[in-house]
Amino acid sequence: MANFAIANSTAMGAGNVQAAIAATYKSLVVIGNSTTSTANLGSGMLRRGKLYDILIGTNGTPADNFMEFDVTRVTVGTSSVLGGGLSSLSSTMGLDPADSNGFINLATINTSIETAMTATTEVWYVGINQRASYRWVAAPGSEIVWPAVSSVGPSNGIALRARSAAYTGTATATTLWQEQ
Amino acid sequence: MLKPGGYAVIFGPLGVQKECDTFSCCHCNSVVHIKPKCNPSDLGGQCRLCDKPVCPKCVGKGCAPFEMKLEKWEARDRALRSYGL
Repeated sequence: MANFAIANSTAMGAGNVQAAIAATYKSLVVIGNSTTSTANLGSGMLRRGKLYDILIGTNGTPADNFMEFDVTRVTVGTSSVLGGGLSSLSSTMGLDPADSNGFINLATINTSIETAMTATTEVWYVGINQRASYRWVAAPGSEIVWPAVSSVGPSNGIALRARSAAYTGTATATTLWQEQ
Repeated sequence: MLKPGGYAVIFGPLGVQKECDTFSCCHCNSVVHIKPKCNPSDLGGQCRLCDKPVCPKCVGKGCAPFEMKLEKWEARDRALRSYGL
């Protein structure tokens, strides 16, 4: 059970650049199972995931605007559809350097095609001022879990999203999660 | 809250502005923020079979543990993939 950290930053050398926030949700981080091969995924290999830590904020010009963030269950397609895939760098994202095999789930940041995912159920939601940042840490056993199913399931991943009616800068997000 | 399922902190420009415990619904896995001194009925309820808290959306809908739903989804997926669907 390896732990991984994914931020919606391109500093590690992969993924899309941060997108401007708008009145409709923009996905910052998407993690889920995929039926297609990734760096460490043979066809049919699926893993449950547990999201246990979320850090969010903004990195635009400070102002008093209302921001909304949520984590929703989604049906994830493939990295080629979503864009911003990180699987090629998954071996560098383990919290323990011994977990050098990387993750099997599909992970993307700042996906450019929101319509490639179908949002189903919102499992975490918070509204905060644009100047604020927020952190949520789950106690063991209370993580946000997604099932080890392919795209035919009701949902096979989660998306951390942001929106704002007034703020048009970019938002930051870091997620810590565990692959079972 | 005794034995919370998580902890949330909002940091403002002047430091920590707000902090609260959270719990995860045992039926849908949703995270609920516990507002200090709020009415317990506003937080949802307690499943008497799971003996765990449930969110307002799941109150009164019967007991359907989330772990059981996960296993059902995964069994269905395994079956469909074995049929080549």
